[in-house]
Amino acid sequence: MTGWRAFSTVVRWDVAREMRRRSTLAAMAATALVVLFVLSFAVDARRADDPRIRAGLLWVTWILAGAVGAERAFRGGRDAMTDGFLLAPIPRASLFWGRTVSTFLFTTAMSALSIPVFLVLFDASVPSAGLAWLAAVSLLALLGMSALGVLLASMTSSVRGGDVLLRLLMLPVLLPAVAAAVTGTGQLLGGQDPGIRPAALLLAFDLTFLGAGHLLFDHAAEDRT
Amino acid sequence: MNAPADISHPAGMPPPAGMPPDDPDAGDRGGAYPFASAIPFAAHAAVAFAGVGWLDHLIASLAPQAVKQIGTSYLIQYYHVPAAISMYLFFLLCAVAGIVVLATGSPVWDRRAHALGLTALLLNAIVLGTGMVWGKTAWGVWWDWADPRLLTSAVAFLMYLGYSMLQDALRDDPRRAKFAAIYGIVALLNLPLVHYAIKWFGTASHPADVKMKTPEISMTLSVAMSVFPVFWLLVYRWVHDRLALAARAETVMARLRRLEEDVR
Amino acid sequence: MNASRAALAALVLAATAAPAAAEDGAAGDPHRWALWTSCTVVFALLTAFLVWTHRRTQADVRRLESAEERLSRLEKK
Repeated sequence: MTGWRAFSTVVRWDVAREMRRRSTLAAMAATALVVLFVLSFAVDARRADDPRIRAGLLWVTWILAGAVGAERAFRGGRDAMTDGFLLAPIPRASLFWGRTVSTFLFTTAMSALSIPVFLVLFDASVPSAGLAWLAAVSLLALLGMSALGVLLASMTSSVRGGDVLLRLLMLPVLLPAVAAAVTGTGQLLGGQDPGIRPAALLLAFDLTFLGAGHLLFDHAAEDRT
Repeated sequence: MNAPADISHPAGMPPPAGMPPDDPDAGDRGGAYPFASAIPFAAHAAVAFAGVGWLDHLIASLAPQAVKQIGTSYLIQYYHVPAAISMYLFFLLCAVAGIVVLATGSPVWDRRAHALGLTALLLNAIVLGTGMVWGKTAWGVWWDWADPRLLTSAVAFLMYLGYSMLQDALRDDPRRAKFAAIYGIVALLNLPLVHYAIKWFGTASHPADVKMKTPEISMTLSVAMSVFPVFWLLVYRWVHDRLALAARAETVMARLRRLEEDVR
Repeated sequence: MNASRAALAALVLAATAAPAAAEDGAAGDPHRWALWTSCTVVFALLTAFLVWTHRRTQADVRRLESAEERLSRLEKK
């Protein structure tokens, strides 16, 4: 199978499966809901009115829920231990890009679903001026998170206790993206102009780990046929 | 053999009789780094010992005049800076060895990468510990959320802690070498991103560093910079030889189990 | 105690001897504790690390010894 066709097959398969079962999205959304609720209770949402802190709490929620999504990226169906595509003779780079895109789609859907909950719990509002920037910064960060998550999850998915290991491996590497996303989101929520730096750093992060995944996925998810 | 084996010679134990000489580890005995087999462990230790002793002598002669100006805490730099430089060197070499592992599947380079990662983790803890003490005297705080150097090494500590946990979790997995190599490369790629993220998005600032430059201080620092890597390389060699011994025990036990099954 | 372990132990001591080396000129320095503390940190971390690796080494040596015993039992059969 050629690279492009394999890529679109992976994406379409993942999306179709998700439309039918909604297992990944449900797990991510439930995680996001629980984390948001506990966080808003813990910091007393009415008093946490610093936009930087609010942005931080939102991103903590998205990271924890996103890790759940990455964890499930390579979990097989109801009775399969490993994901079928890992066993299929398709180009590994295509599998990486396909899985990254489908994970990115599910993570974005989770983020979109959790925004209203966040706005209600924190009694916040999004300034309409920076809306496009806010979306761009968020999508860039979620894309990098998905690429990194897919690369690491392909290794940890078949290891016992791999879900804990995945978080241990993923969260520190995610830190620069978190710093950029929280800073950018916080300034936009506060009505300030964040400038080009958050987007630039997120772009560098995305390129680094999309490139690393493209090159290294061969070794991370060996063709086991 | 009752005495503990000298781990600088993990292969010091002769292969038990009856074992065919097709031991996969046979080819890389003592190969901690490309020249290691030419330099005995004891000679390496002697050089490192003499070097560190010389450094202590220099620090002692430096102390009275340095203390008058800036206080003894400044002397921390003679440990801290070389450890930090060695740490980044080991991170780099760990990723390079990982690339070799991915390209060739070499078990020799896998062991080098593993030992480099573990030694770098130790160095990282030392850099953080001494850096925090120094920060308390220089900046007045133990922890500064805006210093890219401190925070980059803190994030690196978490990443290489993950690296060593990955190595442990996959101990018996044939994919261990590749997966660890991948994470070593990912961690190295992330270091510049972390540095810039903290530089750009850090939230506080500390007073500028005091720069003390007298010929004596610079000279002592350059001695420290050349002596400590020799010392840390010795520690790396110790770790590497330990891993070689562990791998050897592993293969011997596996072969013994096969042999016992054959006899039965 | 074999040579490499003795050498490393001596090295750890030498590498952390700077406070003693600096002691002469340190009288009246308010930051003297910092040098001592940082050297103690280096000493403690290095020692813990070496002891930890050494214990694991000994475990491997014991495994090799038991392999030898099992092997000689096999040879008798």
